[in-house]
Order: sequence, then structure tokens, then C-alpha cells
Amino acid sequence: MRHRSQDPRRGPLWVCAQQEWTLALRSRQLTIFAAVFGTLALAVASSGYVLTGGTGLQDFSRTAASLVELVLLIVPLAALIVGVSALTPDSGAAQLLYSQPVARRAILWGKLTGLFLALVTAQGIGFGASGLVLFSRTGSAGVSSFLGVMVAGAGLTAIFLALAAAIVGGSTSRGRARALAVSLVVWLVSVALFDVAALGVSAWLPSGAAARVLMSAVVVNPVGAVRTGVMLALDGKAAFGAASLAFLRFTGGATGAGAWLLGSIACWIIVPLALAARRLGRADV
Amino acid sequence: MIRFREFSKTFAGRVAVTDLSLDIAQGEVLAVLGPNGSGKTTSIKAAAGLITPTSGTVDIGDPPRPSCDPTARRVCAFLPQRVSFPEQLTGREVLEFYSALRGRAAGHIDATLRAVSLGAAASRLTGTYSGGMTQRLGLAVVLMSDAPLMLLDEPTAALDPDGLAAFHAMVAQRRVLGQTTVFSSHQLDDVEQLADRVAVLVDGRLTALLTAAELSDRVACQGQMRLRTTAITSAALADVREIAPQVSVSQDELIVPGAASRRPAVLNVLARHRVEVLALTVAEGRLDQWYRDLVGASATADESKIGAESEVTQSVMPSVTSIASRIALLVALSAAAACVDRQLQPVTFDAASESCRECRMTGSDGRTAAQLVTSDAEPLFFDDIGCLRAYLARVPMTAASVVFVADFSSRRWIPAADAVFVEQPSIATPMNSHLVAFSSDAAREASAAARTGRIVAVKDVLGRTP
Repeated sequence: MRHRSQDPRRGPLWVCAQQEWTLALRSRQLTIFAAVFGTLALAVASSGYVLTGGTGLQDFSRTAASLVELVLLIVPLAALIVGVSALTPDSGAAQLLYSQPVARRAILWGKLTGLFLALVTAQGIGFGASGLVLFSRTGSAGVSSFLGVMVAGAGLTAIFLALAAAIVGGSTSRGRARALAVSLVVWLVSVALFDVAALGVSAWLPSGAAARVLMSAVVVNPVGAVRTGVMLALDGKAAFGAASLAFLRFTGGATGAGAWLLGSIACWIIVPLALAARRLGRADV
Repeated sequence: MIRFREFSKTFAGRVAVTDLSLDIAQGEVLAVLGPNGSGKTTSIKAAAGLITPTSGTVDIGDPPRPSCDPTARRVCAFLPQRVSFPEQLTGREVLEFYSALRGRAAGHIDATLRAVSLGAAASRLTGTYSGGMTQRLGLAVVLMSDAPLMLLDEPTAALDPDGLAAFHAMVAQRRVLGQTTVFSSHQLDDVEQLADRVAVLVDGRLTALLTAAELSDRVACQGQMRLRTTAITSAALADVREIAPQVSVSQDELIVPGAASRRPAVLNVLARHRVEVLALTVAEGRLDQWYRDLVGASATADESKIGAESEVTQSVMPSVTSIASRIALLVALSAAAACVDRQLQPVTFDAASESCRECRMTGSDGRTAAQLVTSDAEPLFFDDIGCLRAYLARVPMTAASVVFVADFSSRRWIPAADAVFVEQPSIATPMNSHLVAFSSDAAREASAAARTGRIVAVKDVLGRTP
């Protein structure tokens, strides 16, 4: 892709964001992710009637409901891998970059902004392409649900890019393997092990304490928070698990639950970002 | 322009630089010399704001401000030892990026690229550049900044002749403009030609700080005149000693060490005493000899001092204090730590260009080499397993270290913990330890030279049971 000449009047944050955006779009990873998102969306849409022996595409609402779990699984992994890879440059590149008269924090925010935009663009292209196919076959009914899933994907991208930055700290390529290993553990815990552990613990507790554990699990786990948020938005309470139901009861309905979930998601973006900036600021490059 | 005040840096318990106090004035060209691991890179990186002092201060600019302050770094440009760039960007895009990051217009990019002989490669992706071209692009980045203070870490190490010429021209021009240049180097020719002052670091300490004139005098003092003469009288010798107190007589040779300026006076004294000069040879002092003597003497003097100084460039993870971060990362970090430690691998060394950490000699025999690899520091090279043993006797291994030794037969790196060590006096090793390693007992048996040698326990080499 053609690189737009850097404008020195832009602040360092935007200069870094533009650079990262260019690098991300030129890398194969993003192309692969866009293809994966698009293929998955179409596969989900076309497989909806398989069990009933029918054929054809599901509409937007049904596709969105089916897509949620896949998005919750794949988007965090993509954000962690892309984030860790981009934020652990070679030692020589890192030294040259961080010796510039620019705050490390600004460089970090810039890189993350560029990565976020690139990943969301890849998701947009992937889901958008499949959305066009759905629109041409089934009409626009339920398109807002589909858009809701895309927004959830963007939220997860922001959360897990922030986590990737916190994991990386000030590491260079020599620490990339360690950071990727930690990222995989974080991903596994957040998408699978956390809920299993929460359910396991609650099974041994009296009902009141168990409800509190399950409820907390929804807010503490970012994937759980996004999952519950999307289900609420799609009005899919029927698909709620035990933790989400307990949470909904405690918060007194969708509005209260939404506020809690937004707060949780915001914390899962802000706290890792603050930690990442602190670690990078103190690191010897 | 730069002010080090009792600057010390320790990486995870390893001392890299100790109590460095040094002022570098505006317009000065300072060369930093020292063997590998002496603290050159750490000091220069501290001035570039990449490393936070463990104690002391490093200030740059006028008025002086801490180098870690981003705004203070406006006056400064730094070129790392092994610079690299994203492979998906062209040379011009790299310069556009760094130009924009400094808030400068991109107007002079083409001229800068031409100055480092990259004009024709400006539109090529940096992934297609050779090592020399990449280093020249790094030079272009710092050149373009037009910073009053330039910090260059071994800038000529990977430069091709074009790059070297560009570098010399750049330093000369900066001197004319009154701009400061600090560079580290192992190329003593560059140091001799370019530097106004030379700082020598050994094991993290400033061992010598000399102006170019002082350096020239010191080097000249290393010169020597040897004279074969007719019989020399004691009176003549006494007169010569007044001019050159260190004069010595060896068989029929009179050896007069010292600067060339003393020599005519010595010859005059001999003529006055009617001592005939039959033959005369002169050996002038050389910078490399002076440097080796200095480094060798300092290393010997510091033998009893803590070892383990190493130029650690890896970032050190700061302590994680945030409770929120612990919740998220505790499980992940502990699970990952074990598997990462197992990933330590031997590094490919060019034995002929690598200095032994212990004896400081360049490697001469790949069959007897060893290396100490640590997750958070540069690997250390040893040219003799005896050197490794001596080093580990002073600086015990940590749990985060792995030692690899060369298999005597195949030269392949093998973990020392799995090696069979043999001491065989008939096998010559660089430092005469006669200690070699084999990957297995069968390999030892297969070696005719080592078969009858004494087997040495691994713990006697490593200092502990691995």
C-alpha cells in the first residue's frame, strides 16, 4: 500500500499511529485475519440450517448470535498476537525510537492507536464483506445485531491490545517469546479457564456466596463482560449462563448491568494501559 | 554538553558501570574505548535517555537536564550499535517518520540519503538492504536530526567503505560547526584520527581519560630504540641514564625506551663518550599496544573485585506493584517463566573475533570454547574451558544461566550439564587448562587423544551441580 508522507505538524502520537497503521496493513497478519473473519461469518451464516436439513443463509440476527462465541474466541487472540509482535521491536529499532525527544508514553499510545485502527479495519473488511453477501440474500433485518457484534469485536480488540502492551512492558524482540507465552496463558484463562474455575468454585459454596462469585466473574473477566454485554444488546438472555444470570439479578436489570459492564470494560482498557505506560517508562531499553 | 556524576548502573545484581564522573564539552569529539562488557554501551545509552541510572546522574544539554527527560533529548541524537528498521518501509519512509517525530519538515531527506550514498536505494524496502546500508540509513537518521549532541555506539563496526567515509566527513564537519560527538569504538584508527579526547572504560570504571596530545605522548613513550654499539663504558651508561632512566643493556644491545624526542640526546652522549653505534633499530609505540597494556593492567588489578560486569542491554522488567496487574498476570507469568528458562540456546560466536571474558584473548580454537548464556544479559564467551572454570569460581552461576561448551570432536555446542569433561595434558588448549568436553562418554572413547585423560566432574567445572 502507498505510504502517506508524514506531516510534522501532527503530534508524535499521530505520527506513530500512522506508522503502525502502515506497517500493520503491509503485514500479512492483517490480511489473514480479515480473510478469517469474513470466512467465519459466511460459514456461520450458511451453516445455520444444516441441523434442520435446510440450506441457505441465516439473516443478520441469527448470524450475529452464532458469531458471538467465535468473536469472543478469535478477536482476543488476534489482538494479543498482533499487539505483542508489534510492540516488541528489535533492540536496535527500539533504541533508535525511544532515544527520540518524545515521551515513551506518546509512542506507546500512538502504536496502540495504529494497531487498534488496523485490527478494527481488518474485522470491518472481513465482517463487512460477509455482511454484504448476507444483505444481498436476506435483506437488512437484524443488521443492528450484526453491527453490535462488530462493536464487541472492537471493544475486545481495545482490551486485549491494552493487555498485550501491559505484558510487553519495555521488552524488545528478545523478550517476544516470553511475552507471547504469557499472552497465550492470558487468552486461555480469559476465554475458557476463568469461567470454568468460577463455576467450579461456586459449586462448593452456599448459594449466596456462589451467586456473588458468579456475579463477580462476569465483571472481573473481560471476555465475560463483553459476552454478557453483547447478549444483553442482542436481547439474548435465554442464552445467558449462570454467571450472567446472577449478575443480571444483582444489578436489577439491563440498564444497571450495562453500566457495570461498561465500567468493567473501561477498567480493562485503562488499567492495563496505565500499567504498560508505567513499565515502559521505567524499562531500560 | 554531557555531565556524568557518579553514574552507576546495575542490571539484576550485575554491575555494568561504577561511579563514572565525566564532563564532555560542547564541540568536543570524545571516543570511548574499552573491551566488550566494559560499560561503553551502558554509558552512552544512559546519555541517550535509554537507561535510568541506578545511582548518580546523567545530564545533557545547556542548561543540563536529566537525559531521561524527553524534552532534554531535543539536543541529542543516538545511533545504536546494531540499528534496524521495519522491513516493510523504504529508506525514505524511515527518514520521513523520524523527521516527523522530531517535528521537522521532510525537505532535506533526499540530500541526507545522498550524503550516506543511499540516494539510489531511497525507494527500496529496508528489508532488502545489506548490513552496511542499514547502518548507513541509521547514520542518515542521526545526521538528519542535526542535533548538537551526537551519541554513536560503535558506529563504524558494520560500516562499509562508503559509510566509513561518510562517518569521517560527518565528524569533521561537526567539529567545524562546534557540535559534540561521542562515539565508542574498537577501531583504534578511527579513535586516533577523530577524537579530541579518549575515555577508556574497563570493567565499568573509567580507567583513563586523555586528550589527543596526551594520548600521543603516552603512545610515543611506548617506543623503543635499540642500539648495537662498541663496548660501552659505565660513565657513558650513567650519562645515558640521566636522559633515559629506563635504559637497559642486553648482551651487546643498548635498549632505550621512551619517546622519540629523547633519542638524539642519547646518540649525542654516546658520541661524546666515543661509543660507536654499529646498528640502530627503532620501534615506535602503537595505540593498540598502549590500549592492550592498559586494559590488561586494569583487568589484573580488578581480579579480586566482583566479577559479573556485563553490558546488559536487555530491558529489565520493573517490579510489578499494581495489584490489578497482579490479578491479571500472576498466573500467566509464573506459568511462562519455567518454559522460557528452558528456551535458552547457545549463541553463534565467531571465535576469531570474540574476546574471552576471562583471559581477554581472541578465540583461537573453536573446539575448546564455552559460553555462558543468561536470559537477561549478553552471552559471555570463553576460549578455554579453564577460563570458564576460573570465571565461575569468582562469579557463581545463577539459576537463570546455562553454560554451553563445544564438543571437542564435532565443535557443536552442548549443554555443559550433559558434557563429559576430560583433562588430558597432551591436549593443548589456548590457556593450557588441557580441559576439553565431549557430548558423551562414547564420543570421549572415540577420541584417541582424550581416551586416557582424567575425567573431571561437571560440578568441578561449573562450581555447582547443575
